[in-house]
Amino acid sequence: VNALDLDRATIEEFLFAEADLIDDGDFAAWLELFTDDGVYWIPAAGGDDPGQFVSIIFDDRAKLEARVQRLQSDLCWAQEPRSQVRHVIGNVRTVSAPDAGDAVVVRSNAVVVETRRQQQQILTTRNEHHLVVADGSIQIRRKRVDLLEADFFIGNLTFLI
Amino acid sequence: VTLTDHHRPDLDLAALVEDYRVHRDVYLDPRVFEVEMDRIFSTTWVYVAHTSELPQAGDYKTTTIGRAPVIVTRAEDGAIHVLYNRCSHRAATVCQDPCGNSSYFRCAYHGWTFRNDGSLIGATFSDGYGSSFDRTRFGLGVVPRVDVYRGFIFASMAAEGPSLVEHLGNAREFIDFRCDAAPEGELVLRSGTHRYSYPFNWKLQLENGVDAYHGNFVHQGYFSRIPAMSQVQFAKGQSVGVSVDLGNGHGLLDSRDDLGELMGLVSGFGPGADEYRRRLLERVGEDRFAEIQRSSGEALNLSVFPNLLLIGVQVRVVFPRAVDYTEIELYPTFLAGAPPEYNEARLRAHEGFYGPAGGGAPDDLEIFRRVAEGMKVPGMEWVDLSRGRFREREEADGRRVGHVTDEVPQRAFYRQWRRSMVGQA
Repeated sequence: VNALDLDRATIEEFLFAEADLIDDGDFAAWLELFTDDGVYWIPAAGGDDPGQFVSIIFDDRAKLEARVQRLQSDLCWAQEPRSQVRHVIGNVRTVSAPDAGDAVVVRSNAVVVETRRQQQQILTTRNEHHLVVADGSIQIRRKRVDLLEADFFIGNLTFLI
Repeated sequence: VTLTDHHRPDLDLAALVEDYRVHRDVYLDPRVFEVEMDRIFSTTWVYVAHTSELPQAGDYKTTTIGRAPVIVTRAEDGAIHVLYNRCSHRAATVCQDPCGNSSYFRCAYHGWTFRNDGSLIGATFSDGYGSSFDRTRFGLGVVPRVDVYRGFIFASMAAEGPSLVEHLGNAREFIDFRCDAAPEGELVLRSGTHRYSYPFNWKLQLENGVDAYHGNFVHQGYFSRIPAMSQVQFAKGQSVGVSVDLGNGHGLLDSRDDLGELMGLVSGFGPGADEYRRRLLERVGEDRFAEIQRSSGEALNLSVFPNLLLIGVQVRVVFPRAVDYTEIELYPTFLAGAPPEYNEARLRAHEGFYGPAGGGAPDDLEIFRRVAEGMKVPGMEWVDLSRGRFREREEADGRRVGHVTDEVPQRAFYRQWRRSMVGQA
């Protein structure tokens, strides 16, 4: 199956399943959704060329593995106690992207609610997934998350979004 | 422990800071915060922007000095001005954007318009002001003193006082190391900002930014995943670095004898590094080159009183917003004249540890939260800053030096805090 042939229902099912892995705290399984050259990217406010502007997160696969290890360790004070997260995903559609090669480019919006220490934080995101099909399963080559709140003075974004 | 009534009718500022401990009211009492705004942020030199953020005539940036909103501008003649962002008529802010380019600012309330040097171009419907109206008296307020050190723009709301060079004093040498690491001798702050906040007093960040003691514990998990760190003394609790009271409230962690060699290796590693080193060597010569390399990155952490930190590749600014709420901006720097891929690698290294999703900084914020909670205990009035008291030495030039994990920089901060707040050391 070519990723470009995936229908929207299949893509939506994948995005929902991906979000469930984060929401359920199954970070190891979430990590396995990424290709070896996968990138998880959350731009900071100000500019979206990662060569020119700092990002909140710009993880290649190795950095993402280190991030997941850290989140699961017991020496990560920013996650003691741990964040609880729920994703609500909508506005899912594919867009044409000539530069994406064999990946289908999927845009979606999400409301991500995080609770920790009796406080609720609401993040409003626009996501761009580059999805490929490898070994019969859908994988993420790139996940970009643009936060509406990127220029806010947010305290703790150590949980996965 | 004696439980006492925390309610104090009188505020005795002089009694709040002793040589080796700080009363919790320093962090908790809203009246202390008010006095800080008045006696520290309204008098001393405060960092407001970097010249690289305002390269062209008309460029501006908005920020705050203490509570006061200000606009930092580069006027048509190239001069830097720091103006109060307050219409001279009925007080509305005249500039809304974090940065931009404009030769004038127009107040939306009644249309008064000002040049970017602050002068009033005109009051609208001017017949309402009669012939005695003196336009020159109605410019935007001007922060009276502005000076620049190696691109760092500072402003002082006091017309009189020590010069910027006097204020920076011994800190200049360490600002120089950061700038001299650039092949063109200048830092560039145009690569975005990390922002975060925490629900407690601003001074905790100033203490923590030059605290090498906590790194061994708060950041233990992060360091344990960097193989090279296990090779340096720093990570083994056997550091040979020093912490320094530079005078005027400025503090330094000098880990060059621990990390210098590693930092030298790191700076020569990765994309563009060979070309970067060739360009730098050509400008500064071999001796200074070696000195700069071993002084780069986390080998030196500098705090500049009252609210500026130079850590890693970043310029960090601490904004006190309320007695129990603080906002922070991190500006990762580029090295002017370094290859783009080398500067890009600086961003990636910075993101690994710093920022709201980094592997280190958010852990500090969690600890700040725990400090805030613990400090509510009544009767336990003092925060201890005595570590290394017995082994601190004073050098001929007045610097006080201790072990890198000692609380020398924290004591330096509060010595100046006390001097500013009550007029005595």
